[in-house]
Amino acid sequence: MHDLSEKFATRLLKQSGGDDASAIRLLFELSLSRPASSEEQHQSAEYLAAVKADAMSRGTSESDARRESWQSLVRVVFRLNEFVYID
Amino acid sequence: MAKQMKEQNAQPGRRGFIRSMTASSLMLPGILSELLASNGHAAESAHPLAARPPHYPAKAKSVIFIFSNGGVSHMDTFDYKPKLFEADGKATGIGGGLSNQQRVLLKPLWQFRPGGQCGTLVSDLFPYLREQMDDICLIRSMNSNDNEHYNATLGIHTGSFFFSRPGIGAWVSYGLGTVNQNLPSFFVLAPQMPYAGTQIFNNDFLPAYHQGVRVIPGKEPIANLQPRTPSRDLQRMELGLAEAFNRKHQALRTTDKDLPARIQAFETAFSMQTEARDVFDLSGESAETHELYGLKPGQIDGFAWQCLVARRLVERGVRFVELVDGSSSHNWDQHGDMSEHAKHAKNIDQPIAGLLKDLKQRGMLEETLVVWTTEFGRTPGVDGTKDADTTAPAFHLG
Repeated sequence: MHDLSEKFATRLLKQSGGDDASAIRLLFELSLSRPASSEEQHQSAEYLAAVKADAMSRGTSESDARRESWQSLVRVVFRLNEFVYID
Repeated sequence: MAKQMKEQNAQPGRRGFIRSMTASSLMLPGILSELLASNGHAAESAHPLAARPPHYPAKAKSVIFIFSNGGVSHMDTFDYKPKLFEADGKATGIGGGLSNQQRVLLKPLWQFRPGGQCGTLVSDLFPYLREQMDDICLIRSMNSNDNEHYNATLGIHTGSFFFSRPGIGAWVSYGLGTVNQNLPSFFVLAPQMPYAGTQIFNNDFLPAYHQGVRVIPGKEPIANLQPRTPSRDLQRMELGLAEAFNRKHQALRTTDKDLPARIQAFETAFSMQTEARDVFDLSGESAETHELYGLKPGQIDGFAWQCLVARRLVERGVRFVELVDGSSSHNWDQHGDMSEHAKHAKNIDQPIAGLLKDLKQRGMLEETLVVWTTEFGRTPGVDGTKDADTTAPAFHLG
């Protein structure tokens, strides 16, 4: 799960051309087969910013911090009940 | 309010960071409220596994339920039948199983001697437990309605011989909750699967919180206990956001009773990553304690390990611990050679007696009900060179 999250995060960033908002849209579409709600879009963006800021405050470079934040967000989505279980 | 939020955001470190998340538009998930309330009582009472008072006052707070697979022979262990010694080799029409053959009787292969001040007769199969008879309540009137191992095992755990029902541990968890919410309420220490498999610890129609968590003795008793997320703080944040998303998902599916339990499972798993590792680390146990159970220092499996870990779980407020002795394929079902009972007895005698002594000397026996049972006993008819099964005793210890 962790390894796949890293790969998926890399793919999302590449495919979205580095734009967080479109990468978030892509994340929800590819993993949950539905568009992200505006609230999810907003919360995800906030989450990315928070994790990135935290990593940078510990001396991580901006590009590494960004990658970490994306890997983290993908792990969140991969753990969702909506992703794990078929209702 | 805006000023207060700004101040919160300005707080350095983990708490400030968590606050900054909660102060923004994220919901306040259980993990965050738990962190910020520092285990406040209010947070606990809302927990689905919160301890509930019993209908009637009870002395016991925890149960250690020991299940021996295969049908332990009552008349070779705790149920002295003097006439059977006299009748050895005679045919009386007692069959094996459901048959009515003229089977030859086989006397117990072990001598009986009185144990403790009460003088209850116990065979030489259980020399250690025999010493503990003053602390043991022995029930000899147990009887099973089914002589199939699978069905009888299901029956003694669930009350149902044929249909899947919640196991006794799941019921106790459902009825009483648990004291320590950082650990599951119900653990099953099972090196191998018993008869009826996971059905004996399944929650079935009860909420999924009450399902037994299986522990497999060895290097990694619970899989994936070591977090792979780079830091504990980040893991906490990930679970916080996942819970916020999960709650929204659940709000549209209120009839699905498994969803809240799955959300809860992440919180329990999160706290287990610290608490559970500590439970399985026996390095702090003294040489005397190891000796009491017959456990070698550094040993990470075996029935003695199961017994010692059971004490450590109960000590930490776990409500129900089941110890599985044997499996559906290697067990007490001695059709071929009754003398094999000796090796099975030797495997559990000292560990169980050690557990009782240890609980007693720590003052825990007063509040811990230790139950030992099997699915049924055996008939005294020879089956080949041996002995077959039917009705059974169960033993209550503690």
